[in-house]
Amino acid sequence: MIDGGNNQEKTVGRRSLIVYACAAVLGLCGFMTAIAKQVLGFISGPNLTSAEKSHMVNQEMNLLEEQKQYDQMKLARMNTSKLPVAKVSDLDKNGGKIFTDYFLLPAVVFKNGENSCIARSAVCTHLGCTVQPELVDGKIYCACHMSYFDLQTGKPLAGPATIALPEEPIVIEDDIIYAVRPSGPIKIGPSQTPMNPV
Amino acid sequence: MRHKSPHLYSPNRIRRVVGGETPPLQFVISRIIIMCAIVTAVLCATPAWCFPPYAKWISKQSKMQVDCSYCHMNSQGPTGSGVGQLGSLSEEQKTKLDTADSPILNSFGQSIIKRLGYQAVVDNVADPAKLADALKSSDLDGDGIADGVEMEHGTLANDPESAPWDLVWKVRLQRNIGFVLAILVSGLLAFVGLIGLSKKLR
Amino acid sequence: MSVARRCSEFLVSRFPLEKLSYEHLANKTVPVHKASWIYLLGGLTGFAFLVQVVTGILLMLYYQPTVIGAYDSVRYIVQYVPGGSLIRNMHVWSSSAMVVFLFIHAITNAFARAYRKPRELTWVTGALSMFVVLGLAFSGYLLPWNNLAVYATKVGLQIAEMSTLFLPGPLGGIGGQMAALLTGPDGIGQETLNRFYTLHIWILPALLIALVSVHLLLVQIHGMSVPRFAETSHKQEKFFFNFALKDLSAWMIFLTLLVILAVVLPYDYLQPYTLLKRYSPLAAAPSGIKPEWYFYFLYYPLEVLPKVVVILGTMIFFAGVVAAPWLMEYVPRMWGKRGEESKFPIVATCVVALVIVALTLFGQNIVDVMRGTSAP
Repeated sequence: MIDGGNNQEKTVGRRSLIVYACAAVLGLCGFMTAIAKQVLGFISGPNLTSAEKSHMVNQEMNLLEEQKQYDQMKLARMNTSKLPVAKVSDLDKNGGKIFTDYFLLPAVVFKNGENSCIARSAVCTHLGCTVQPELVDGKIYCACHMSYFDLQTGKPLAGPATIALPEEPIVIEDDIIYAVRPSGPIKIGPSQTPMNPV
Repeated sequence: MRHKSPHLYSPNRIRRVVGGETPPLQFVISRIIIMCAIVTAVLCATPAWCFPPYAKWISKQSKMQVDCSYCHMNSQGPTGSGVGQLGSLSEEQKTKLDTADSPILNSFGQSIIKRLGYQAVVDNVADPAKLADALKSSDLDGDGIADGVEMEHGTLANDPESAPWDLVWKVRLQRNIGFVLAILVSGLLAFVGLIGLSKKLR
Repeated sequence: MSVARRCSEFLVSRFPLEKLSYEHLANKTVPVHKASWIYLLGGLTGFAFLVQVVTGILLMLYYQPTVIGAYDSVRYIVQYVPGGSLIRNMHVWSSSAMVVFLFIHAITNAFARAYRKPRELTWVTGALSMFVVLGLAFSGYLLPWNNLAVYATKVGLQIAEMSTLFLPGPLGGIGGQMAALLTGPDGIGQETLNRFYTLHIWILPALLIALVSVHLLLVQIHGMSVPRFAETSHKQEKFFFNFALKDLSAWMIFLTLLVILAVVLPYDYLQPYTLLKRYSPLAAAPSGIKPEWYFYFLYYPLEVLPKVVVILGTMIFFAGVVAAPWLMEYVPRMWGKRGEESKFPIVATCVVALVIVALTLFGQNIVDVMRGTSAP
């Protein structure tokens, strides 16, 4: 009797083992098939309509055009001593203009008088975001962490920034504002960001 | 408006705020000033000609950041000489400015003009919710969320990769229900089988 | 005893390689007790990394690491390639899952005091691989080349640059030079992307695999550590195949949930669209730039406390994490207790865990309250 009971137990145990093994194998196979189908589709790639293809080619050409403009900016900065960056008539009391300085970093120019302008680096000295091209209450404002800078001195007025925004050299000739090539070699890189107090 | 910046970070103030005592008048005032500054910043950052009331309304509704490129080509609005701004247009493009193919608008902006007309945009400036309501019957990007609803949530109506997450997951679940069910059933089956095996094996 | 002798004794006792045999491996057992679920977490972290490797390799079929092409190639994957949204979002979500598993793995093992002798080096390799994982996350964040990616990277590099400014003399420039090495000679641009891509797909994964190999070897040699409360029970189960199957079933559950999450909720839906646009070097930064959530515990203190304090504190904290096995043993001795009896390890672990969780969950709110503003 006792032996028989043991045997029965063993058979039940073995049967449930087989059921679990089947469930595991079936589940794993199902899962792998579903995923493999996606992965194969991914590897073989999309079948695009010609409209989609031409849309993409167009987009690519626009991008190349943009890149070309950027490269021309680079060239201009290597080969000239001053660059037109904005028109005085385009600026108003609060609205300035972001331009790219000789370090290829963003800078911003504002009006600070009837016919005089002031340019400062637009790289926020807090954590390197680009400041807004509009004055807020006559102050330069960085939206990332709400730092305010004085327009005339560049000194931080409120917010987390502690270092002044450096001034950038400009000249104005007949309504046109030119960025002037800084003296010394032009080296572009993070050490040129105004983090290090000038 | 003047900021009382030196007080902004004074340790006393921080202790008071964190301690949860009644904030003194000075703190309330500085807080109001900062709020005003933020509002001014938002207003100033929104150039003319891109209907600031709409951008403002969308931002307020959704608490998401919104710029002119919600409807326009350029995120700085139509004034300027950049891509999709008035200064860069050819003579031929300028003739299309008032039509539904306007070169300064993105596909969502164009679809508004196409469906409701330019006048509806001007008329609803005071009550942007009405414009959103009128746009609730179409789904330009096919992400399953109506354009008007996307306006209320501050996500792009012409981009399927931008949609309010708390609504769009249901749509995506419905669209992929077969795959999700297959994964769920086979995953659970495999889990039950494996855990059962690990208990039964000696 | 000479230093060399002590070193060699240390290594011999920590690497008892004689245990490394087929016999040992085949008969390996895992303790069973109330908290034995914590043994699954390391495996889950490793499995999440495996998912990262597989999906990462698949993404490389379409991703273009160029300033012109990166943004559009990611859009192309998500919008046009069949299953692309699934693969990409598995990669993104799984990276977060990996950090979560890693964090819980570290914290539970700290509570179980699994770093005790002879497992110090297991802890050290684990802690070091945690930094590599954070590095992988940071370098991967730049690759989509959208506003969020580039500005968050700028912020990160700026922090690296500042991190040594308080040091005297030429030492102060080390951070800046490190940042310059990562950025490349021409500012944030193509070279930066190349460097980050190389780090992300090759250098850091190789480093991680090397560290994790040693980690696994040590786990294999020393076996699972048993927490003190369970030392009296001697219940064990076989690694092959009882525990291995348990491991597998946990991976199965994770993979199921991951795939469903990736299908139903692409990660990008959680960000405002202004942050997800192509980065333009000439535009102003949108507001709301934030690092990935697992850097909040570093980022939010930086926002409100003096930077020197935060950076120094972080360095000391990271060094402390690596040196935890020895700190937890020797610090209590300063007030005359042996490490075994002291409450110090448990209290220290609690504090660290609570601070990290609180800063991650409420960092934004804490900063807002301290500043007296609400986020615009």
